[in-house]
Amino acid sequence: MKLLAKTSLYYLIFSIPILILSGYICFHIITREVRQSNNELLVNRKELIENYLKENDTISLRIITKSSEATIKKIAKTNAKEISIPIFSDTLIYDKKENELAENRLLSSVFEVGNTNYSIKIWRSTLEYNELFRGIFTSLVILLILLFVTYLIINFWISKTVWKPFYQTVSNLKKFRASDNVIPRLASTSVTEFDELNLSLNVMMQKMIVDFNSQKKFTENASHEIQTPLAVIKSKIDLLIQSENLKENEMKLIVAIDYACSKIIRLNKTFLLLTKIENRQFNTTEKVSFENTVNNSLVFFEEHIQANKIEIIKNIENDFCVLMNADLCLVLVNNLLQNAIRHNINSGNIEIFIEKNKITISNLGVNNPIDNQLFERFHKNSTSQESLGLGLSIVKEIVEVSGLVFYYKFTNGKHCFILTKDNINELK
Amino acid sequence: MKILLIEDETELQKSIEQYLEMEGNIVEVSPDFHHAQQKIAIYDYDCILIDITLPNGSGLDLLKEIKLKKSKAGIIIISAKNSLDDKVNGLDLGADDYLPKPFHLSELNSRIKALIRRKSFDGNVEISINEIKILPNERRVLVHNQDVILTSKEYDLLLYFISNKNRVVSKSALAEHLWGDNSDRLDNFDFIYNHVKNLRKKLLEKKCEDYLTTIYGIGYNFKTQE
Repeated sequence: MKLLAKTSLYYLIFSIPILILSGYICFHIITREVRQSNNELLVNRKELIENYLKENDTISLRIITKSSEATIKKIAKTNAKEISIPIFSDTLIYDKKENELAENRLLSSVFEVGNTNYSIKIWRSTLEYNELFRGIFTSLVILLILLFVTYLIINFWISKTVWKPFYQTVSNLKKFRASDNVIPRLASTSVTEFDELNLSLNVMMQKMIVDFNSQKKFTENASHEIQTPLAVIKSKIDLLIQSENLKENEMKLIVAIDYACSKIIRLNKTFLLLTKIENRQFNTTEKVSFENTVNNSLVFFEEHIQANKIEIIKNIENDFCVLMNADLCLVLVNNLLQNAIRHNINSGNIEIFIEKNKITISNLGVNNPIDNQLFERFHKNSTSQESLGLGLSIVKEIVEVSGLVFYYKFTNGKHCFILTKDNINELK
Repeated sequence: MKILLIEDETELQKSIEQYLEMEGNIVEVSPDFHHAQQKIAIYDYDCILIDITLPNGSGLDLLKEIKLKKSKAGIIIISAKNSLDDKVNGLDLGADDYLPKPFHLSELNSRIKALIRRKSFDGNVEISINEIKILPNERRVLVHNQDVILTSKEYDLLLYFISNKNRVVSKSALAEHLWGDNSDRLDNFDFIYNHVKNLRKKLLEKKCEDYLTTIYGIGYNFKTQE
């Protein structure tokens, strides 16, 4: 969820109870005020009527009673207590105009003129509370929407302007690679927090580059330094096997040493290759044809293909040409084909499909997809003794430095390794 | 054959010296740059093996000096660096071959022989071992003056065996020779077995003596003497 959406949502969630509370308060204040003013008005009228009664102004009284908002009745003089205490009450009175019962405020009081007691009832229609409630609710909803919209607009504007340095930093970070040895320039901003972020990111990236380089240097040095002692061991083995009278047991020992030694040599060579690729030391590029490279590689693996009775199905629609290092391209194809041969089933097949911008090498093999960890170093899932578990990580490195895209999928029992120039078409 | 070995690692020196001397070569050793400079200035060699990283200097500079002297010696760079740049530089400066460490002694030996063959008589040499005759320029093999039709790998094997005759050649050395840097890829040993079997069969068909001895588990020996 985007920051904008998230804050807006929280804003909405928190503004709802506030608006409900303020609506409630509003409703109460309004009803109280209305009641008070009605009461005052009724009291005024009562006093007016009382005056008319005192003056015996029958005309005015008639006018008032005609307007049907008051009744004046003579009543028997009973209880003096009732006199002079006006009683307010809410009542429903039938409204002829609207043809319904309407809420009214009623004042009943008893007034004494001479010996006669008059019961006065004055009423006045008040606000209808449910209508008031509806009114307040509607206006609050409108307010909420208005607030939300303004908030969105403000937020949008903020994220466009205030957050701009942040997004710039993020896009710079996305491009950052320790192996490039370049720290992206994070421009200073007018916001302290962002400046702090940029500063600590800069420190972090610097450290990453230093660490990366020292690690790289270490691998490189270690691999180089190991070469010479390995050369000594290898040459001593060569001399040792020249000895006459070697017993079978000794020979077995020598073979085992030779095997282990060869394995270290291979590992070391592979590390050196990986380091070189990572160091971008293969920087001469030329237009390389995948069709030719595949053909060369197939010649190299001819014997292995025959021995495993693997059928090669080549389907070349269009040659796939890439601007890259030719040696690396051969290493890449060799690794993929070697993989396809090594993990194939007996009498299986390998399909090589070359299109204009794509090459697919698919092979039969174990009947479930390999996991992505295989692209990491030393991850093996076969029992193959010969496998170093570095093949696919070499492929990954080469693909990375050559501007290609590489991915794997498992369809119809086939392991497909796909290389393309761009990933737009396939990564649906 | 007189060979100068410029190499600072003592144990490797000893190994190479020992292996090459078995063939009756005279091997002189230089452990550092200045020593090698003197040797190069004073003596002539048939073949010079140069390590690139030396105490006090670079093997590539020695290479330049050898070339200035217009020496006819064949030069092989043996380097632990195994970098493409070194290889290209070395060959540009006039080295005849480049062998990355670690290497098999048999491989070094066969490279030296091939180099000497190329250098002498413009490569117009034939290799004769009793009834076997090899014409390297035409990649032709004759036994009792009869052509033996060999595949390219069988031919390479035969030449390698003959270069290292009377030595035990390990299977891993053969694999490396036949498949180069990629030999570490797949299990090549079975293929070697098949190639050797076919080679032997073809030679025996032409009434060639059976020189090849299998050394249990390790490899083969092309024995031309008892």
